[in-house]
Amino acid sequence: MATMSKTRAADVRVEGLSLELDEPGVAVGEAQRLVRDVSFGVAAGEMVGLAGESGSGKSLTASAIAGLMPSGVRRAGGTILIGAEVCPPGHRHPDVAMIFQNPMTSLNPSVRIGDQIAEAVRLRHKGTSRSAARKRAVEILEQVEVSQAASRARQYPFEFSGGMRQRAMIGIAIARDPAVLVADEPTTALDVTVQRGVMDLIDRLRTDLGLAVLLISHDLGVMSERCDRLLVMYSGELVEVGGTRQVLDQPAHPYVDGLLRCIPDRAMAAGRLQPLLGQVPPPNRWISGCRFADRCGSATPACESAPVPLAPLSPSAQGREVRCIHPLTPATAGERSAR
Amino acid sequence: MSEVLLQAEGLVKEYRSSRWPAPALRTRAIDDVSLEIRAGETVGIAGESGSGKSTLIGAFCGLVRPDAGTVRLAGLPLYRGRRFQRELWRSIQLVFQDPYTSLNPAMTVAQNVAEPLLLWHREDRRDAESRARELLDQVGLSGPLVERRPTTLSGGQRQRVSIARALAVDPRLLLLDESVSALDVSIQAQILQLLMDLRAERELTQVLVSHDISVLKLFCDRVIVMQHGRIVEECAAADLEPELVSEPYTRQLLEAVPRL
Amino acid sequence: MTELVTGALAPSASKPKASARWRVRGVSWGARLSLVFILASLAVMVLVEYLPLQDPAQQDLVNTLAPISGEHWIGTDELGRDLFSRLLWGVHTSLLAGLTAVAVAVGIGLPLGLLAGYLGGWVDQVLSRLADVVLTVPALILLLAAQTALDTSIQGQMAVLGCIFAPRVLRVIRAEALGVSTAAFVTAGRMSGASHARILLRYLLPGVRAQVVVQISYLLGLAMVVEAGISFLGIGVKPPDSSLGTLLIGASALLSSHPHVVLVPAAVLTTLILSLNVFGDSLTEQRKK
Repeated sequence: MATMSKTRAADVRVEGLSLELDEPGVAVGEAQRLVRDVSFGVAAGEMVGLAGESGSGKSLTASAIAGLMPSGVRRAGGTILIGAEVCPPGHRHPDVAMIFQNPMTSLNPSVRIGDQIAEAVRLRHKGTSRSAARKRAVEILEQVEVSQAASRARQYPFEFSGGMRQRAMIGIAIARDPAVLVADEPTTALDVTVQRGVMDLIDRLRTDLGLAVLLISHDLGVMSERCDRLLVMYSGELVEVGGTRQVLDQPAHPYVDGLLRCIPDRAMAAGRLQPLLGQVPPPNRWISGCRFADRCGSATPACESAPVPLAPLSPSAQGREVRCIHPLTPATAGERSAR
Repeated sequence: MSEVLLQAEGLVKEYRSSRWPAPALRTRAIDDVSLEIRAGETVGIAGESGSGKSTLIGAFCGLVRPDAGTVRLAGLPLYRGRRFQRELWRSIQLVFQDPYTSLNPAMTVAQNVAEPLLLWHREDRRDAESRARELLDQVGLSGPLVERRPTTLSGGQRQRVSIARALAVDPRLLLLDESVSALDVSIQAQILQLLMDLRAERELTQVLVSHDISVLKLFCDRVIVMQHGRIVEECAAADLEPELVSEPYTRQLLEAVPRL
Repeated sequence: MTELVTGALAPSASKPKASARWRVRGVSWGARLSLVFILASLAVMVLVEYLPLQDPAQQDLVNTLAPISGEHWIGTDELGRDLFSRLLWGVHTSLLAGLTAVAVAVGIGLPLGLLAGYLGGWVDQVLSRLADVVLTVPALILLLAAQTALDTSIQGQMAVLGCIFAPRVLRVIRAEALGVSTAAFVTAGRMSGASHARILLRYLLPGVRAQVVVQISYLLGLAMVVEAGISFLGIGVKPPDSSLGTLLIGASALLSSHPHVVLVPAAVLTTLILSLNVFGDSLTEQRKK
């Protein structure tokens, strides 16, 4: 297979990113916050999972990195670095590509798949001839494992199945020769058997092209199989960061612990379902202290009174950070499940 | 063993899509499906998109008229000729997938729930609404919220309202069409817990359609796996393990589910 | 039960806060001014009989084409009639005529549109094709033909105009009702035992209400233009009654010598129609949000 050689490996760094509602007449930094002080990095060739429920701000964070922020939202602070380059707000960095949950809304229904990929190639490599771009498009379709790529390239999106469309979208993404791939719920709309194939593909492209992949999902199952590290967001903040296995096997934040107990697989193992009570608070009800305090079993008055920093769990735990003043230890976690 | 509540025999539903001038394309959404559901049982229907699982549940509640075959509820046929017996909606209720479109936005939450009491039980407005408040309290909703319009509610709260409305007529069979699929994991767990509690309180038979095998394993006694409109596997929920199932498709499906 | 959920919650942050505060903030000043003007015109329409105005038909041949004065706020016309009084009576006649047309159009188009959208099938086919047929005939020709055949008053002509508008209402409401009737809550209503009539009234009608208001505001403006047009042609409102249209005919020859006689009623008519359109547009904008 003719894979273009990949030289520009780059990592992403997000530092202190804050997003807010774009309210006219309100000074930057003063409007309703939607995401607060998010910092993390994704190295080249690494897949990092960003998990959270709806309203956690995970998709907004992802769109900010790709420079595709929805209208009505603006950056209140923080920096995004692609390699060594600082990405100003609203700038679509050419090395960052993004794929979405619903490929049908991102594909142009009246343009052949091959032409859509070729267009992305020509946008990235100015001066590529039409025929060369077409040839490259067929190569890319082969690369994303679409069989009979040459004839498939001449088809329209409606002739593709859901999984095939997502592969075509990934094709358009890699036509940009990206260093970073932001995948926002890429398999949520797909059947499980198809989901596995698409995730395998993203995984393979990550190793083949040395992509830094940020996978946004609500599905911890998918992440546990694919991601090296896991970031969990709640109410616009990162609440727990660490190696995927560590976070999933020994969660330190009570929210992450509670969330895991809601997952049917875990509930089966535990013999009962222990739903997290209450709901995620809307942004206009966010407090400066711990936003999970009102749903938390181990909350104390100190939790709500002052902002809780994202701090290392212990000096020995490498890269393990948690935003909690009463983090769960293996001992207390056992106590909790026995309760 | 308890009595058979729902009995389906040889159900067929065919959809035709016109491709004029070429001959119309016929697809069998459900193809010769027969099954029995016993009173008090919780049955899951699994399958990928296009497997016919939603069409099947539609045929159980008058939303999809089958082309052939019979469905009976406690011996009574659901369809006479091609006509659904509307009175059976007193015994069969459905909770929809999308909480955002399943409540009437022009009525308050309490009025939405009172609707079946008003219309099926012919209760007067005041009785119906006070009974609706009791039902809402049972599903965990109370206070000023019940006098509001549903547009101000979250997805999980709306799904609770839908469940209260479905339970208002005290049905024998509660059909759940991907009713927890659109919800966040923690809200999904709350709703599943609610449904399991209701099952214990009332003698309620539940049928849950879902693409999520792990939800079915947790929630159901028995699971039916569908593919291309046919039932390919029928087993106890606990036996849904790749090593235990007989059908290769089921094994493939189970192996594709990501493990935590 | 497991717990009480009593909190007031917005659905999620991804659809941030469609609260009342936002909606009001989104309304433009143009739309607000338009609404004020429309309401003022409606007030004039209702109250004109009770206002201490001079007789709009009282001629004063000594004082023809008088300039603006304390006695005649915007002067008199070529027969010495008080223009201010004639203008307010003109607003009364024109709006009443427009409302007649709109009432007939909505009276026919709304129920039939709801039926077509909800029932679908052959009902929809028949009603929609009928609407198409009426829409193909130019409105003015239909109006002239009806006038020749029936020789009715302005109200009668406006009722005919309403029939001409009805298919437009039908089409819009049908499309809207079709969208609403596929929503799960309509099916849920049927399962709750609601009859078709109840579904139409309690489930679909509230869903199309906003669209009805939009249609009323557009069609009212259009009906008033048509009224002015046919009055100008001499088949609408007959002298000595005044409407905004007849005021324009009488004065059209005076445009160069006494412009205020033409410009004031023309400005009122234009502003009113513009207001109706701006208001209609702002409602449509609101619905998109």
